[in-house]
Amino acid sequence: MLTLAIALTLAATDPVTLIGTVRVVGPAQDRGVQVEGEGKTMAVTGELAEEVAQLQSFKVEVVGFPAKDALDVREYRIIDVGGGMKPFVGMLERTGDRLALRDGEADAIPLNIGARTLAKLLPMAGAKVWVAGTKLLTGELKVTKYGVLRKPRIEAQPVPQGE
Amino acid sequence: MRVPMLRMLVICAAGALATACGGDSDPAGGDDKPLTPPTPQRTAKLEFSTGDEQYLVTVWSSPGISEASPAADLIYELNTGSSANSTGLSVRRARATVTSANVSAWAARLAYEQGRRDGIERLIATMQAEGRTFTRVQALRAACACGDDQTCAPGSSACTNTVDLNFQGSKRSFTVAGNVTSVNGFKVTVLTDQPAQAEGLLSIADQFAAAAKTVAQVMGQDEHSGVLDRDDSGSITVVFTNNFGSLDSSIVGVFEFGDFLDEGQSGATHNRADILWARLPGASPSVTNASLVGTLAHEYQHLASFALRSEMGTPEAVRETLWLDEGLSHTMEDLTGWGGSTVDAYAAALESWDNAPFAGPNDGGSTGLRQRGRAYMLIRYLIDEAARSKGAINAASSQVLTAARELIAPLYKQKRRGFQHALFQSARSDGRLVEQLRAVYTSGNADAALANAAEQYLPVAASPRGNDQRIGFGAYETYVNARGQQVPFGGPTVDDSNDGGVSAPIEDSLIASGARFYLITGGEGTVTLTLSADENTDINIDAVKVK
Repeated sequence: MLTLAIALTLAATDPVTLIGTVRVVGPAQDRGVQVEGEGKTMAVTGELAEEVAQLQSFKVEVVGFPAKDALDVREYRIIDVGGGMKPFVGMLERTGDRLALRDGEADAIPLNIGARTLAKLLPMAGAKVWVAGTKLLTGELKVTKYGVLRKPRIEAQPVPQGE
Repeated sequence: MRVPMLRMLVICAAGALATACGGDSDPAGGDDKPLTPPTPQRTAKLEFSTGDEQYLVTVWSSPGISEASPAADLIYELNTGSSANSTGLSVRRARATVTSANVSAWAARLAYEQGRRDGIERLIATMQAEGRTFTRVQALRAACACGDDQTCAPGSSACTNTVDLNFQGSKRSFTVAGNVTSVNGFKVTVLTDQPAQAEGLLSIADQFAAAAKTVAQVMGQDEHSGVLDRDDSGSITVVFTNNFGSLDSSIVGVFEFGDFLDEGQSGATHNRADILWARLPGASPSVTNASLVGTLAHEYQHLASFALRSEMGTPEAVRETLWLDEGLSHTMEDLTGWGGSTVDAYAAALESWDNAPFAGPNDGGSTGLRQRGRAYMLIRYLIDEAARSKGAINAASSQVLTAARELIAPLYKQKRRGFQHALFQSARSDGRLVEQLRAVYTSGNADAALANAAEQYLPVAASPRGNDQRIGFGAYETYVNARGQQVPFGGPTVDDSNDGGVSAPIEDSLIASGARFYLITGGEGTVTLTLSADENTDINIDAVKVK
């Protein structure tokens, strides 16, 4: 009996992995996120749920702990953003007038993007993004599509001190 | 599950849209048609003889074989290679300049509707976990013969003047204001907690009854019966009250799927009846008689969709992709002649044309509103195109509803969702999808004289409801919204600041399932435009001479 109880406790705390397509439900200010796998759909909760929500329609792998009817997601991986392509994920980093992607390893990857898209993305420096494209011989990544997973944190402005 | 043949025959014999009955068998192929990834069009030829010709070039994307589009920006380049013929080309980006969409007033309604879907998803998850399917149980109210100021008491055949119902977390007593039956035979039972306003409410209900009949017919139903009539009362119940609990005052009317559910199901309100909830007219400036009728027609599509898709037998089938479910409801407002309540959605879509997907993620707010407008534009075009082939001359022609039924009714019998429906897969592959985008620019546009008139929206007409509203879509029309205000649309017009020529490739990005217009003039001979973009995404280029 004790063995069974221990086994059930362990099972309840084992992380669960689910591979499937992201669907977003619920109101914007309190919306729900689901991953629809083969024959199984689970709601996704937790701090990363908002990032997973940005990946609607893409195939992902989410890992987390069951919490009631949902999965408290602790990590996730983007598996496919079309044609089996796995994107790069990292932070947008401004280098002069250009942008690079820092994925936590070694040097940031310089992004090869045109002027109009660059102008659109420069204010997003500091954002967590996914980017897909082709690695050039120059070491740059020529971006063909991208999405913002988490907007940049707005730095607090210094409060003027009174006289 | 298909409709039994006997029932189809009855419907076809009795229905005003009998000629559409062939459409119920889904000529587009339904769930049986295989999903084949489209081959994107990446080049377009422009032929110049004088150099004064003007081409409309559209860069556009679709969800391909997905039910909806991801949250993604697609980067592309347009170039003409080294052709000398492109010297002097003028490339100008066209943007829509319209109106003032009343976006803020829509926020609460959008949030409510997304919340409703959230509840449906939770219900489905629970049912899946428990291995249950939807089943109908004993009707709350049996059909009985009552006077016009009464209805059948819940659970009995006795007639009553009051009914207790649960709404927004509380049980309340409502008085029967009366019953109305439209000239086309659609019965509505009106309840309210303000019986002194009964006369006005019955007038609204009468107009809604006629509209609801149209909605039901377009959805392939000729009566509010069977699975639609949850309580077997022979009518739909509309409850007018200003006590909407915690719901925002800008919400005019709602369908609560919990009203349909059996006891014990997640989200059940215990009403077990087909009910639409509506504000009392005048509750706020946005609650007019016109907005009430239009909103009730919109909500009736949600009610009937929930009932019909539930009937397919598997909980998964209940879920229609939000962009399509809402797009259909907005289309119903227009088709019934009460589109004034949905004009804001068209306006928002045009105002944000360069950044408006039709099938993107549903994050509410202005994004959700513009997406609804884009989805409506697509569905309305497909209907107009089919109606024209039947002889329709404008958006109010009788052939429009026949065509609408042929196209839309099969959607409620298919397990596929969103863009995966055969209707949209076919429209993608046979060119109607891009024709629709061209039509947004060319329909009613005096500056597009060379455009093919047969590939445009049907001309907008006066609503047959005598409500001063307009029916149909035109990006250059002046509409009257449900608040009685004139809303002039300026359509897509040139933004000259984007005149960059093509001395270097034009680089830009496009939201997934969005579209962008360019107007190109000034070439010599043949100019070939090439679109370079992600190989695995359905992003395309199209060019058509318009002037």
